Amino acid sequence: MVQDFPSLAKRKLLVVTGKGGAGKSTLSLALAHRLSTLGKRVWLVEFGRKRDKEFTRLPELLERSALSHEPTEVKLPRTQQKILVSVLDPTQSLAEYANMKLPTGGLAGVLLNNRVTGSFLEVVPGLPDLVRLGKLWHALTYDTDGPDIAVLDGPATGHAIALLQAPMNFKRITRMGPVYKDAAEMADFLADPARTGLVFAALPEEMALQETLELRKILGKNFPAPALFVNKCFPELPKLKGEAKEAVYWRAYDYSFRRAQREKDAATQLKGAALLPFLFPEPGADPLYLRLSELLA
Amino acid sequence: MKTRFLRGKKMVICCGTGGVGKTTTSAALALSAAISGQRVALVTIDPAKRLATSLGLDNLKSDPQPLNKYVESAVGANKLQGSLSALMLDSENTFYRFLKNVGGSDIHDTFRSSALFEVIAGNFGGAHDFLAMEKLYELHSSGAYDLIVLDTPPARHTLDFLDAPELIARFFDDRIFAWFLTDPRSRGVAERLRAKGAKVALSVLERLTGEGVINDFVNLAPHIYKVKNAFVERQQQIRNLLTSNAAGAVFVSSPTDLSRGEARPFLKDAGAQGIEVLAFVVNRSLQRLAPEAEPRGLRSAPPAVAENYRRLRFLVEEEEKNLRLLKELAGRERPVIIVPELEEDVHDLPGLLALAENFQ
Repeated sequence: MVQDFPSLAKRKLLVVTGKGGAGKSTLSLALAHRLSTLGKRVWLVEFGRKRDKEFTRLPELLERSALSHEPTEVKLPRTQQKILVSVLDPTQSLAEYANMKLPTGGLAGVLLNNRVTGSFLEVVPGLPDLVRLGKLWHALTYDTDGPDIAVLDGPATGHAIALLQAPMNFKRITRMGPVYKDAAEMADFLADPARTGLVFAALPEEMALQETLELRKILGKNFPAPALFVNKCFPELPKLKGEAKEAVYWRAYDYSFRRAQREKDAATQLKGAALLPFLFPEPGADPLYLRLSELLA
Repeated sequence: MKTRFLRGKKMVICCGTGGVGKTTTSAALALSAAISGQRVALVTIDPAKRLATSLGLDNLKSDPQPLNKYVESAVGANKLQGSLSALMLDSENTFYRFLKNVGGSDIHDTFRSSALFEVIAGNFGGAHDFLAMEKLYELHSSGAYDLIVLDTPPARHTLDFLDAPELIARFFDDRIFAWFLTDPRSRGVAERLRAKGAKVALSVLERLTGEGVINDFVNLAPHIYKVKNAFVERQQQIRNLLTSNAAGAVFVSSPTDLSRGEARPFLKDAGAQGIEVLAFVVNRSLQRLAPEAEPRGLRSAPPAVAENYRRLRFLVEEEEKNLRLLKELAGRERPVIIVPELEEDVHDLPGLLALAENFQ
C-alpha cells in the first residue's frame, strides 16, 4: 500500500514525471489501472510528437499498434478494466481550442489556414504544451460527462518543468484576452493540490535522486507537493553464511545483497517516498504494470 | 589516445535515451582521454546537474572549470598526462552572449528587457539544444581542446537535438517574418502589416491573445530579424562540423533498454543526418554475475541463494538476446563496448575511473 495513493486518487489530474528510464510509463499505466478499479473513469494521456511516434511507450504497454488523439476506450491487457487513452497531437489541440474560442464565421479557419498566422502558431515556443494541457484542464473542469481523472504520462524532468510552467508564462506575456484568462485558470488548476497531483518517479541511485530533489526544489513554490516513488529497488535479502563463498551464485548473492542495502540507503534520502521493488522477469507472470498496480493499494 | 574509436576525433556526442548512464559515460570517456594525454573539455547541458554529481562536485560553472587538481588527487599527479575541464551549459548566458556578439549591445539590451523574448528563449523546444551546439562550436573554435565530449540533454528521442536548427530556421522563416516587420511611419499593429490576408488573420489572433502580445512581437521582430542571419549561418557551421570527419556520436544504452529497439532508428537517423556513429556502449551489464544457466553446486545452495541466481540469470538471458541483436546491427566497423555493472553506484571520481578502464 502506497501512503500517498488515497490522496492522489482524489485529484483530477496526475502528472507523472521523473528521470528517463525511471519507469514513468509503467507507473502511469499502473496508476490508471488502480484508479479504474476504484470505479473511476480514467483518461491516460501522453503528449505525442511527430517524429517520436515509434518511441511512445504506451502503445507497446497497451499492446496496441497505435493510439489516437481522441480519447479511445481501451481494455487493459490481461484484465477486464477499461480506460480512456489519448496520445495528444499539438496541431489538433490548437485547432480545437481555436474552434472553441472562435465558433462563428469561420474565424478559426482564417487564423489557422493563413500562411502567416498559421505558420507562426506552429512555431510559437511552449504553445504545443499549453494547448494540450488546456485540453486536459478543460475536459476535467467543464465536461460534465468527461473523465473523473486524467493521468498524464509526462516528459522527463527538464521538459516537465517547462510544461508545467507554460500556463504561467502565457499568462505573463498576454496580459489580457481569452488566452490570458484561460492560462490564468490553468495555472490555478495546476497549483491547486485539490485538483492536481504531481508524481515523481526516481531510481534508487545517487544521481537520479539528486535530480528528483532538484526538481522538487524548482517546482516547490508554485505546485502541489509531489508524491515520490523510488522505482526498481532491489529486494532486501537475508544475511546468509555459506562455505563455498567463491561459487558464482554466492558472488551473485553478495552482489544482490549489497545492491539492495545500497539502494535502500540511497532511497531513504527522499523522505516520504514510496519504495517500489525491482520486478524481475518471470515466465508467465502478469505484465509489469499490473504487478506494480497491485502494490499501489 | 588509447580509446581506439576516438582516434582522430575532435568531438564526440554521447546520445541515448534517459536513464542509461549517458552522463556517466560522457564523464568516463572524457576522463579516459585526459589521462592518456589529451586536453579535454566535457560539456553538459543537463538542467538537473547530474554531471556535477558524477564528478563528485556540488556544482559546475558555465565556463570551463579545470579539474586537473581534483583528478590528480584521485589518480596521482603523474598519471594525468593531459587535462580535463568541465562545464555546465548555462543556456541564458550563452544565449545572451551570442546575441551580444552578433547583434551588439543595443540588440542585447532590447532582448534582455523583453518579457516576451525571455519566455520565447526559455521555452524554445530546442533552444537548449541549439545552445549546446553553439557552446560546442565556441569551444572548438577556441583551439584550446583536443577533444570535446558533449553529453546530450535527456530526450525521449535520441537525436532530438539535431532538430534545433530546423526549428529555429522555421521560426526565422522570411516568409513569416516579413509580415511582422514594421513600417515605422504607420501606427497600430494592423495598420503596420502590409498584406490584407495576414491583417485579417492577425486581428483574429488578437481576439484570442489581446493586442499587447502581438504588439510586443511586432516591436521585437525587426531586432530578431537583425540577428537571424547570424543564427542561420551558425547552424550551418555547426552542422558542417558535426558531419565532418572530426566528429562522431556514441550511442549509450542499458541492456534492458536495448529491447526497446532504439538502436536501429538511431543508426538510421544518424546516417540520414550525416553523423558518423563511432561505437555503442552498453552500460551496467550483469553478464559476469550470472554467466551460466546452471552452475555446478547450485542445486545444493540455500534456496534464497539459488533463487537470487535464477532471477539474475533471467535478466542476463534477456540481456544476451539484446546484445546479439545489437552486435549484428553494429557490424564489424563499430565496436560494442559492454561495461560491466560495478559493485558500487557510480557517482564520484573513483567510480568514473573504474568505468574509464573500459574505454582504454
